[in-house]
Amino acid sequence: MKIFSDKNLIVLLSKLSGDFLVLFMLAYGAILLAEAILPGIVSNRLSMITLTLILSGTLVLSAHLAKKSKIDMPAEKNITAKKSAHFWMLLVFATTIIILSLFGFSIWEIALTTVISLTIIFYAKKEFTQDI
Amino acid sequence: MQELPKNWQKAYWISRVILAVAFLLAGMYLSYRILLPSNKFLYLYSNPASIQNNLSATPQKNNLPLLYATTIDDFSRISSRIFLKNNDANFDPSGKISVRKSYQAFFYPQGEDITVPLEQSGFNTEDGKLISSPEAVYVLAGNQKFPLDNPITFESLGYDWNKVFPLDEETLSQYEKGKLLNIRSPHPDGTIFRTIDTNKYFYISNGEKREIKGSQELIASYTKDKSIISVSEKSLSDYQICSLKKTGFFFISYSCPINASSLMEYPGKNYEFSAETKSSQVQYINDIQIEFERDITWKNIRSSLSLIKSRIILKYSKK
Repeated sequence: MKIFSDKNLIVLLSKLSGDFLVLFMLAYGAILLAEAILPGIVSNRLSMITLTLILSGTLVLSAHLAKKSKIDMPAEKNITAKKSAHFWMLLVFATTIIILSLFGFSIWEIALTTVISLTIIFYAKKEFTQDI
Repeated sequence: MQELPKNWQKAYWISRVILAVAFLLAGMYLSYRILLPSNKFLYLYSNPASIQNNLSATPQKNNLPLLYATTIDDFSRISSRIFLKNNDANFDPSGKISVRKSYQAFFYPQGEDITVPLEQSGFNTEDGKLISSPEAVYVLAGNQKFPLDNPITFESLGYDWNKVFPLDEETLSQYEKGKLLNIRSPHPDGTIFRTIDTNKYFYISNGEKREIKGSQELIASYTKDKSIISVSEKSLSDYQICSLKKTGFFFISYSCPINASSLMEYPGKNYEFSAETKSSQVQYINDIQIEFERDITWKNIRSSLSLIKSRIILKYSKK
């Protein structure tokens, strides 16, 4: 159909799917945090599998539309600084969830989880802050 | 990012606003579901043994079983929906559904009065007592110890923690282990109910409740060292009734909304549902779905927030 071959429409859909993805990821993060604080508070009423499938589907759709609309990646000057900021935000989020989930575990399990988490964070930081 | 022409930019901004509003509404709906949760129950008449059935059924002479929904929360509204097999046109919708609230064992038919002390009654003197080991709390009945699955079940059955007596392993081992009691289990034999409105005492035995009549000493012989469960005698006759109304277009069902606000005052975890219709009608019914709902009031929201707070404290408090 002609309407779907319209370049502007594809760009519009691509932008909207990106917006949807950002909003959905924020909501998903908030739900994960709520679940970490009190397990079952959301998952008793809403299927987490459905949410994860929607998130995965949106990711695929968003990537497909971005490719199709040939959106140029901006040549940002301070992309490393941005990636670093994202890394610290994710680190705070992940640390909160890990700490909350460690309640009730034995001291050895906590120590092991902490060591593994720190190792993952160390290598994740290297990946995140690396220049393209 | 690739720029859109001006007219497309307008469409993009409108779509963005719609998207944001949709997320806001979804968030509000989720908050509503968390703060004012509903409870859903199902009973398949076509398959009474189905594991999907979360309504307990007690067979009756008229083919229509009494159904028991168990919930510890208070609800303002109850909506019952009957779904028919193949949208059967022969179903007579003139029936009614009635509901009352208390404990399932207190709904048992009333047997003969008890007029002799416990020692002379022939009942097991230990029945109905609460005992504990380091691992569990048990209810004694018929020389068996019935473990309670968790503290919520203990409290939902109306038991008092101060009436739990710890026993050593040797004494405990004298009792045979009975089946696990959960929130849906009725009180076992030996349970004592006291009506808060009429101050009567009832003893549960073999599917009957029997009133203990006599002096204070006689009553004390039954209640000594036992957790007495408070009930309301008025709740036995306070039925909330609704008439079935046809709803739906493609999938026809018969619904029946009940105002349950007045039932909140009664102690108990069980809602007993009975269908008042001709016994022949059961052949047309596939299932009944019952939903308990709350009104949007500050009181309900505050009570829900307080419940969430206590669950968080329970989770993170030192064990």
